[in-house]
Amino acid sequence: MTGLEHFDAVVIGSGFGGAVSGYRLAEAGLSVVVLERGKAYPPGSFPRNPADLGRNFWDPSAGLHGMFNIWSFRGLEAVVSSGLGGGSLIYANVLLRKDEHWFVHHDPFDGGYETWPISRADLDPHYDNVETMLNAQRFPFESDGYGIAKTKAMRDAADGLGLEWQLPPLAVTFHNKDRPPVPGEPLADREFPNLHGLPRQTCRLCGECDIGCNYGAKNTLDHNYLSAAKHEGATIRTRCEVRVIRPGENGGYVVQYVEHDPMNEGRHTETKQLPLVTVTCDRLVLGAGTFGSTYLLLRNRSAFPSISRALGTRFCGNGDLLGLMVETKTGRPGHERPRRLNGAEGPVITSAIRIPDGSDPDGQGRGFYIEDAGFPEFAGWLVEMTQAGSRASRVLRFAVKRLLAKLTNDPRSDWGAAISEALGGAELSVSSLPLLGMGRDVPDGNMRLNDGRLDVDWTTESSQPFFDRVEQTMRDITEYLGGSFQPNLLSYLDRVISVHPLGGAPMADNPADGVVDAYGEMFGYPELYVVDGSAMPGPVGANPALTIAAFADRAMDHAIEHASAGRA
Amino acid sequence: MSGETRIRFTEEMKGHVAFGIDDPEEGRDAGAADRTSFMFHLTIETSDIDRFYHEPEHEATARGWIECDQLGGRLPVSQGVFNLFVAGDTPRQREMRYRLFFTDGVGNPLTFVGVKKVEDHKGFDVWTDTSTLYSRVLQGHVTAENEEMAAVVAAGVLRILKRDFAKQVTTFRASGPSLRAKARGFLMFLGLFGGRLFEVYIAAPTEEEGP
Ligand SMILES: Cc1cc2nc3c(=O)[nH]c(=O)nc-3n(C[C@H](O)[C@H](O)[C@H](O)COP(=O)(O)OP(=O)(O)OC[C@H]3O[C@@H](n4cnc5c(N)ncnc54)[C@H](O)[C@@H]3O)c2cc1C
Ligand code: SF4
Repeated sequence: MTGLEHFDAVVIGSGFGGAVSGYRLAEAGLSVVVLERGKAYPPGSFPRNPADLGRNFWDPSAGLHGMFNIWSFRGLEAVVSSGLGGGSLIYANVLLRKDEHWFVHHDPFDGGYETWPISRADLDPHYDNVETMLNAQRFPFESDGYGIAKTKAMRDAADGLGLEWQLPPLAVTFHNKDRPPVPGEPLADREFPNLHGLPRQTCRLCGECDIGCNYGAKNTLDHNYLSAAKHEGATIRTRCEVRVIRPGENGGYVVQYVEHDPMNEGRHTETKQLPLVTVTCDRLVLGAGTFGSTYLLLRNRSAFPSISRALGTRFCGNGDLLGLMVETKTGRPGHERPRRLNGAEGPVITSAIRIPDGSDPDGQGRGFYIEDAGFPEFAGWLVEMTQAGSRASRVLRFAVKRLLAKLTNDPRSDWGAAISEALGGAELSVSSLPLLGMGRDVPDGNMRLNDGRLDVDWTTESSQPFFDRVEQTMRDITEYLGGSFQPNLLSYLDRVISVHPLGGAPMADNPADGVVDAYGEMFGYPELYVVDGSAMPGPVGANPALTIAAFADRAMDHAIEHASAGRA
Repeated sequence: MSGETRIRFTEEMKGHVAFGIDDPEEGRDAGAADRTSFMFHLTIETSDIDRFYHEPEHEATARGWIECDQLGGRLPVSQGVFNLFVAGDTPRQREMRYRLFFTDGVGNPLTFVGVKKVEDHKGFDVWTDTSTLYSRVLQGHVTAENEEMAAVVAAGVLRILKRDFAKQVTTFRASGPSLRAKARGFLMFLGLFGGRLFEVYIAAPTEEEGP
C-alpha cells in the first residue's frame, strides 16, 4: 500500500498498557504513533462545576467527549476513562503488586478455572521499572499534617481486628526528592519535558483524585510515560478512535480511525458516519483497555479468522465491591460521639487491609483487599447514578444524563448537597466513609457482541461466597469503628460496580485457553500485542494498574527483541 | 411471452455457527453452546427453472440479508447466487449451493457458502437432509474456484423449520407460458425445497424405478 502513512508501530490507547508500550517502542528507536480516542487534560483543566461535570462523559455519538465512560451490563456497572493517560486520569493512584501466590494455576476453588502463564518473579523487574517511572510514594502518614482521620481509623480497625494493614505505594508526589512532604510545593522537573508544558505541585490532600488532579500532583501517565514517549519521538494523537484493524496484505497491520472534532462536542454526530483515516504499521499494540480492546477484536473478528476461540472469555470485575460505613463513633461506651473520618481529606485511597487467600500459607478461600475510598463526592455520585440507572433504565448513561440535567438546570444546586440529598440525607457526613473491596472473584464472564453493542454476561453468582466474605470483613471494620454498614448499594439487584474490569483477550500458554501468549503476542498473529487489562486471565486481586503496566513493559522487551531480530 | 418459467420465493434459514472452526457440524455444536446465532433471509429468483435444474452454470439470484450479532447485526447481501449441481454418480444426488457476498459490521468483505444435499434413496431422511444447510463464512468475496484457499471465519449448520417452510411456500410466485408450466415450476420448487424429490415423478427421466 503506497501513499498511506506508515509507522513501525501503532499503539491504540494511552492507558497503562498503551502508555508504557508507546514509550518503550519509541525509546527503542521505532517510529510510533499512539492513538487515543479521548482528549488531553493538562493540570487545571479537569472540570469542577456541576454543569461541566455533567458533560464529562464519553458518548461521542451523543456529542459527549468527556472523561467518564460508563458501561452497564446485566451483572455489573463499570467505569473506565477516556482521555490521554486512560484510567490513570481518574484512578486512585494505588500501585500494588499482584500477590506472589495469586498467580494461580488451575484454581480448584468454586469451579473457577484460572491459570496464569506468568509469575511474580517474571514481573518483579518490570514492577520496579514502572514504580520508578511513576515515582511511587507512600502516603506520609507519620509526617506532620498528614496524620489524617480516615487513615488512622483504618489502621486502628486493622490493629483491633488483627488484620494486615499497609500504606501502599501511590502514584502521587507528596514530596520532592530529598525534601520533606509539603502540600503545594512546585515539582522538580523530570529528565524529559512535560508534554503539557505546565507547572505541577505536590499533593494538596484535596481528595479529588477520581475526578482528575488539577494540581498535577498525581503522576498520571501523561506526565511520565507519555511525556517520555513524546520526547523519544513518538507521535501522540488524541481524539482519534480506532474502529477497524486488520492484517495487511503484505504483512503488518492496517488501522483505521475516526477523528472526534472538537466542533462536534455538544452535537449529535454518529461515530459510524465519520470518515476513516488509514495508517499502516509493522506491529500493532492494543492498549484500549478491557472493553476497548476486546470490543475492537470482536467487531473485527472476521479479519482475524485464526484468532483463538477464547476471545471474549475470562471477564471479571476484579472482585470490586463498594460498601459504606456510616455514623461511625468514638469514645467510651455511653459517651460516644461521632467519629470524624473526613473522607474528603487526603488522596482518595491511602491505606489497604489485606485478607490472605487459600493459596497463601496462612489464608483460606479467595483473598482480597479493603481500602479507604475517601471520596464522598465521587462515591455519592456513582451511587446515585447507579441507583437511578437500575431503577429507570438498563442503559445507565441515560439516567446519568437525566440526573445531571436535573442538577445542572438548577443554578443554585450545589454538587455536594445534591448528592447527599440523593443519598437520603446525612449519610455522607464527616462520620461516614466508603470502603472499596477487591480481590479474587471468579473470572467466568463472557464478552460478546449483541446487536452491535458489547455485552457481558458476568454475574456475582459464582463469586457469591467471595463477596459475602468481603462484605463480612467490611462489616467487622465498620462495627469496630462503631458505625453501621450499608452493603454494596446494588446488592439487592445482585449487581456490583466495578472500576477494574479485566479479561476478554486473556493470556495463556496455549491458543485453546488464551488469545495472547505470556508476552501479550496474539496466537496466530505475529507482532500483534494486547497489553492492557483485557489480557489478564483472571482477577489481579489488588488494584490492577501496576500489574497491567508491568505486563506491558515485559511484553515490549519481547516486541523490541522481535523487531531487532527482524532488522538484523 | 417467452417460454421460460420463472420462479421466485423467499427463504429463511436459521442455526448456529462458531468462529475459529472449519467443520460445519462441529461449528453447529460449538455455536449452540456459545449461543452464536446466524440466519439469512433471501429472495431467490430464477429466470428459467428448467435450465436452472439442468445446467449448474445457470444460477438463480439471491437477494436479502444475513443476520449475525457477532458479525455486526443485520447485513445486506450485496450479491448472491444459488445453483444446483450434480454431486454424485446419479442425477438423484444433487447439491444446492448458496454463495452470498456481504460485508461485516466494520466493512470486511465476506462470503457465505452453504451446501444442501438433495438425494433420493432408501434410508435417506428426506425432510431432515434437504432442510439442512452446511455453512461456512469465508474471508473475502470468493468465487467457487478460490474457495479452497480462502480462510474460514466461521462454520455451522442452518436449518429450515417445517413451520417456516410453510411460510416459504406462501411466498412462491411463478410466471410462465402456461398454467401447466407454472404448476410444474411449483412442483419443482416443492421438490427442491420441501424435500419431496420431484425429479422422480416429474423431471428427469429415471434410469430405474422410483420408490
Ligand atoms: C475511579 C477509579 C479508580 C481506580 N483506582 C485504581 C487504583 O487506585 N489502582 C489501580 O491499580 N487501578 C485503579 N483503577 C483501575 C485502572 O484505572 C485500570 O485498571 C487501568 O486504567 C486499566 O489500564 P488499561 O491499560 O487496561 O486501560 P485504560 O487505562 O482504560 O486505557 C485504555 C485507553 O484506551 C482508550 N481507547 C479505548 N478504545 C479506544 C479506541 N477504539 N481507539 C483509541 N483509543 C481507545 C481509552 O480512552 C483509554 O484512554 C481505577 C479505576 C477507576 C475508574
Ligand atoms: S488529593 Fe488532590 S492534590 Fe492530591 S493527588 Fe489527589 S487530586 Fe491531586
